[in-house]
Amino acid sequence: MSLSQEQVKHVARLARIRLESEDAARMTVHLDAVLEYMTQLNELNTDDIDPTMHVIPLTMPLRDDQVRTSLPVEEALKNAPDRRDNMFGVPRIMDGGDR
Amino acid sequence: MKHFEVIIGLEVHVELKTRSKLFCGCSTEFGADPNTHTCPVCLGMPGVLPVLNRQAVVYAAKAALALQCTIHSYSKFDRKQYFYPDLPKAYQISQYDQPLAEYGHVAIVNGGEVMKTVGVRRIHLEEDAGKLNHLGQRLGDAKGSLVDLNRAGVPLIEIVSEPDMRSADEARLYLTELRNILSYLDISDLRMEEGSMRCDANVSLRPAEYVGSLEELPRVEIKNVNSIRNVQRGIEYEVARQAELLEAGERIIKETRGFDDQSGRTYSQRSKEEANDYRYFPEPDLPPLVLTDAFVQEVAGSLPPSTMALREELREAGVQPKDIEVILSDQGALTFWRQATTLFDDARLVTNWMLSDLSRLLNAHGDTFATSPISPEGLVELLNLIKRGTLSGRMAKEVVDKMYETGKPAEAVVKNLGMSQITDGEAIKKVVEEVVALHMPVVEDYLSGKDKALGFLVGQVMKKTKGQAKPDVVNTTLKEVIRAVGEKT
Repeated sequence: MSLSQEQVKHVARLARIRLESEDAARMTVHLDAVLEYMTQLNELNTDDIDPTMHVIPLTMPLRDDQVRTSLPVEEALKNAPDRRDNMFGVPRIMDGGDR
Repeated sequence: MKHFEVIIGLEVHVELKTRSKLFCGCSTEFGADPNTHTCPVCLGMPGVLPVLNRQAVVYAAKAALALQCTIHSYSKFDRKQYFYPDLPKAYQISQYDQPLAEYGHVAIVNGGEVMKTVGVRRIHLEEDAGKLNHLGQRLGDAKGSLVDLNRAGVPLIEIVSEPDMRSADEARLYLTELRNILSYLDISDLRMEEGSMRCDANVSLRPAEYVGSLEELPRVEIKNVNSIRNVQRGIEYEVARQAELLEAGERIIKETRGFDDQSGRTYSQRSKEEANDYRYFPEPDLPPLVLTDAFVQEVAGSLPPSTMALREELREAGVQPKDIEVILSDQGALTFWRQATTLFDDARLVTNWMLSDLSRLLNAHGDTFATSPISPEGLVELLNLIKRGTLSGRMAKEVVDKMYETGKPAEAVVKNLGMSQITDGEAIKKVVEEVVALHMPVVEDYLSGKDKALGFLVGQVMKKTKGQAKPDVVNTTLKEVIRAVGEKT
């Protein structure tokens, strides 16, 4: 396993984690070691085993389409650092998100 | 000029009209006060568990079957991860590599004939995001934004087409037929202007010499266009823009572009992140969705007749292909047409009156066939008066206006207006004789061979009868009376 510093920076950016250059170098070494450790799993023969999508042997429970009472607006907005007109206020949206 | 093939694929998001959200019991009602339809689940609070809405699965399965897809007995949900303020959990619960359904198709119809078949790659269930209101004209210069999470968690299906369309017009026909099909399933409001149906268009141009795969061709995604007409306009603009770039020897950048309704142009929003940047992984809070054959059979049994079957019904009644498409595109119009044609056997006359005069009135008043103040029975009563000869076509147009205004039935309107066609030969003859006596010089002109003089005399008779005399009776009576005069002199 050999992780590049570029890959580490890419992952950090996706997770919105700011990494200074020396951190990136250190993280690359650490992450690489973790991934290296994980490669032990590759020694197992999994040819006859289906991928595990879910650990609990259960199929999807479904609920009826019934409306239940929502939270009062005050409750919904209680943790909002900023609000206006009963909406969550957020700072200017910069490029780089999606949708 | 270089030759390019236009390659278009469409992604359509459709909001399902369940009462409650996809994973919680909050109401999905449109237009409520901001953030009044939220709870810990759709706000993305820690420690909550989503529970899937059965009705959403039924609606998605209906769409899948109507679009000729194969429904998978086993599908799963995944987390699609990105940061955006309208997404409180910082991931959207969607379906990635094992969607609900795949391998469908939509036949697109033009001029009454199936023009081509567009593949449906997949249909999957996912949750909608909240709504952002930007404080400023545009996102670019907004000072900040306000988030309303009422829409967060509303069920959506995403319908992904194959890149099978080759022109903006084919894209329009595909979307129109998709909307037709979905509208008869009654699973969504399908209002593009309100966002309950949204379309993203992927457009690329393939140069004649290109040999690589379609996937590798740089494509532009036009996002969230709010009408079928604008999807067509956006694609037309994008095809011209890309062709110009390629002809100038420049490259097309893979990116997302918005569409500006005013100018009809697309504009760059941002370069598109690679799909693997979403870091999809199986949603640990939801076990796999298993749909039995019995479930699929039950849904299949509940499907309405297909749009192709409806076309056949209209065609057999003698409706023209162009009119068939108009009626088919509006469920209310089809219901109206069916009721009216049960009561009146001339389906063409019903169609003509519906799509000309009644449509004109409905549009002018912001009504639809479903809310029309003139009922199918009301229209048929009017058509019967025309058929019996009580009203001429021209008089009927005046009557239908009054029926619409007053809400009164045709007979009452005719009586009120003192209107009804005079078909009584004796009554007409009396008026004709008066007119002839008053205008002897004109009568002599006619007798001396000036055929046009007759028109004047007809006009005088119509004036005296307030337009109610039956024109053909006036004509023959006039000629008779004048001939009699000619013989005397």
